[in-house]
Amino acid sequence: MNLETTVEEEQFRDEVRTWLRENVPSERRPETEAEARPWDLAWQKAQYDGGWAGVSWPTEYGGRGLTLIQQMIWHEEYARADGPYIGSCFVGVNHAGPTLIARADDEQKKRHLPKILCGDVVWCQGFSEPQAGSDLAGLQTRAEIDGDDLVVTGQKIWTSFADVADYQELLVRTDPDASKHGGITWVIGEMDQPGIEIRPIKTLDGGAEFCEVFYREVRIPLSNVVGGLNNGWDVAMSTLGFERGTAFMARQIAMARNVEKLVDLARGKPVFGGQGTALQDAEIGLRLARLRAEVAAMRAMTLASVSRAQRSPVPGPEGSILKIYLSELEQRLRRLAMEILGADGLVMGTSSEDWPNTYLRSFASSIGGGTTEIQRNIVGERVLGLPKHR
Amino acid sequence: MDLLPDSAQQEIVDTTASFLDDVLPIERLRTGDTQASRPDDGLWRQMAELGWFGLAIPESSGGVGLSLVEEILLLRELGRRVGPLQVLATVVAARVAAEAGDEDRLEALIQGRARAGWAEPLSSWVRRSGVSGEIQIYDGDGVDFWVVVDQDGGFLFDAKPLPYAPHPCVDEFTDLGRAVLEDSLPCVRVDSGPGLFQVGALLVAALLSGVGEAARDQSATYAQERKQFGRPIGVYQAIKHPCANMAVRSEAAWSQVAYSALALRAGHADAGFQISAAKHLAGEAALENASANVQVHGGYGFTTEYDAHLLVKRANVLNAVAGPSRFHLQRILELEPLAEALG
Repeated sequence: MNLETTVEEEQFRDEVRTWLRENVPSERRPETEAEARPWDLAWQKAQYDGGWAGVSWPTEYGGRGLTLIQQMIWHEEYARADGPYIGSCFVGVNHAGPTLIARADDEQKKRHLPKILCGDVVWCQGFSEPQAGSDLAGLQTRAEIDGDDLVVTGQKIWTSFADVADYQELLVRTDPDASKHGGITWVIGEMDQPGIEIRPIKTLDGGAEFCEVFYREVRIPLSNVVGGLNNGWDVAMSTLGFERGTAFMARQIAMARNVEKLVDLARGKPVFGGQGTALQDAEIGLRLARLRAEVAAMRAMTLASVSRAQRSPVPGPEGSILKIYLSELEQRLRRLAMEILGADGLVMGTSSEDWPNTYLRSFASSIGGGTTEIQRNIVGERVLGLPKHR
Repeated sequence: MDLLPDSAQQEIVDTTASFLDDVLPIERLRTGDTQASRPDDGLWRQMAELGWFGLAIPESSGGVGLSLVEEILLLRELGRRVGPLQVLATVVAARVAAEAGDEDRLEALIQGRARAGWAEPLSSWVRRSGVSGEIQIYDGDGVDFWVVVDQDGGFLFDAKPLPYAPHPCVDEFTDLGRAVLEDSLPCVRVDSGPGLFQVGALLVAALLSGVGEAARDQSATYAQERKQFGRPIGVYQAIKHPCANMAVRSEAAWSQVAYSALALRAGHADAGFQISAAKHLAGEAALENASANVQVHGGYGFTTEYDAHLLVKRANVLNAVAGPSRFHLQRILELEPLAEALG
C-alpha cells in the first residue's frame, strides 16, 4: 500500500498538464445538438492530432495504450483543466470503440476505429427499448436474415445523439426461439439508411440529447455483425466494465471541485430572514462537511478500484459500488445547492452547468447506465453472493 | 499508487485473521461471560510475541519497524471480531512512551508486561503540570496505564493509585469506568501537537471499519440461510438492497481509512482532513450497517443468541471515542480540503 507516484508518472502528468493548458478550448461548448456535433468532433480531432486521443486504447489501434495509473492522471488533469464534456463522441470513444477492439474482426476494426479516434464520426447506442429497460435482455427489435442482409424492424429509446450520429451499436433479436439472452446480436448500424425515423425526446432538464429511433425494414449487411450471430449479449457485456471503470476517474475530481464551488456559494449567501451566511448555518455546514468527506472517499474508492484492476484485468462487480456512491453523492450535492440558493435557485441558468440546470440533470445519474436498483442487485448477488431473484 | 495490501501485508492480514479466529472468535461472546472479552495474560503475551503492540515502533526501540498502515490492517481484523479495546489503547500507549523517550515503559508495553486502557476527558480538561477533570475509561479496570491523546499530545497515567468508579456499559463487553483527576500527575507526557490524536482517530476508524464489515457479512450469510415464503430472504430486494447498501458504506469507509493512513505516513498536508473524513465515514458505516443488520435478522436480531447486537453496541462505543462524527465534520469544514485532489 502506498501513494507514491513514479518519476515517469510525474513527468507524464506535467506533459498532460502542459498540453491541456495550451489546447483546452476557451469558448463554451455549444448546447444545441446540431452545433455541438462539429464542435465535439473538432475537439476530438485536436486531441488526436496532439497524440492524446484514446488514452486507454491499445497502440495498435492508434491509442496511447497507457497504464491505468496514467489513464487516471489523464482524466484527473482533464477535469482540473476544465476540459469540455465529451458529448457526442462519448459512445464512439468510450463504448463502441472498446467493444470493437475487444470483439470485432480485422476488417471491421480497420474500417471503424481510425474514424472514431480522429473525430470523423459520431456513434450512438441502440440498446434500450420501451419494453426493455432494466430488463435489457427482453429486447424485441427483430432482425431477419434476407440474403446477405439483416432486416431490422422495431424501436429503440433513450438513444443520446441519435439525430446527429453516423453509426450505431445496435442490439437486435435474431433468434426469437432461443433463450432470452441467447438470441441477441450486436450489429453496426448506419443511421442514414432508409426506414430509420428519429424523434427527439425532451428531458426534464430541458435538454434534447435523448431520442427514440424507429426501424421499418432497415437493411444492414450481415458483415456488420460483431462477435457472431446470436452472441450479442456476451459482446455487450464484455465492455460494461469500460463504462464503470475509468469513467469515474474524471467525475470524482469534477465532484470535488463542485463541492468547493458549493462551499464558496454558501460563504457568500445570506440566510433567509436571519443573520449570517448559509455557511454559518449549522445544518448546512454539516451537510457540506459530509459532502467533503464523501468526495474524499470517492477518490479513495477510485484508487482502490484502480489497484484492483492492476491485479486482475477483468473488471469486477465493484464498479457498481462506485456507481451507486457517485450517483447518490451527485444528487445530494445538487439538492443542497438548491437549498442554499433558495429563491435564487428558481431562475434557470443560461448554461447547462448552472446550479438549477445541474440539479435537474442530476436525476439522470441514478438511472442512466443501469439504475441504482439494478446496481444494488449486482452488488447483492455478485459481491455478497445473495441468491438471484429470477 | 496502490491502495490494496502487498503480499507481505496480506500475510499479516491472513496470519492475524487465523490467529483471531482461533483465540478470539466473535462466538466467544455468545456465552454472555463478560470476562471472555478480556484476553488473559497468556493470550496477551502471545499478542505481544506477534508484535502487535510495537508494529509501528522502530526496531531500534524494540518494535517491529513497520507503520500505521500495518496497524490499521490489524485493527480492522480486531474490529470484525469485537476485539478488546485494550489492544488499541496499548498500541497508542506504546507510541506515547516512544515519543516521550520512556524506554522502560515502552519495553513493558511492547513485550506485553503492561497493558493500557483508553481514556478521554468528559468535558473540560485542565492541563498544567498536573491534570484536572473527569475522564471516562474504556477497558481500563485493573490495567497499568490509562492513555489519553488530545490535540496537544498524549499522556499515560499510572492507573493503580487513581480512583476508579465502574459503570455498566451499553456494550457489556467493554469495561466502562470514570475517574476524577485532581491535579493528577501523568507518568508520561508528550506535548507533540495533534499527531497522536490523529493516530488514535485513525486506529479507531479501522476498528469501526471492521465492525461495519462484520455486520455486512453477518447479513449476507443470514440472508442466504434464512428462508421465508419458501425462499432464502436474500432473494427479496427488501433484504438484498439494504445488504448492498452495507457493502457500499463499507467500501467507502475502508478505502478512506486506507487512504488516510497512507496520507499520514507520507506526511501529506491534508492528512488531518483525510483522517477526520475516515473517522466520520467509518463511524457512520459501522452504526448504519450494524442497525440494518439487526433488522435483517428480524426477531433474532433483537436477542443475544445471535451476534447482531454485539456490533450495534460496539459501534456506539467506538463512534463516541476519538472524536464523534460531529467533531470531525466540524474539523472537515474548517480545514482546507483536498489540496491533492483539487490540484
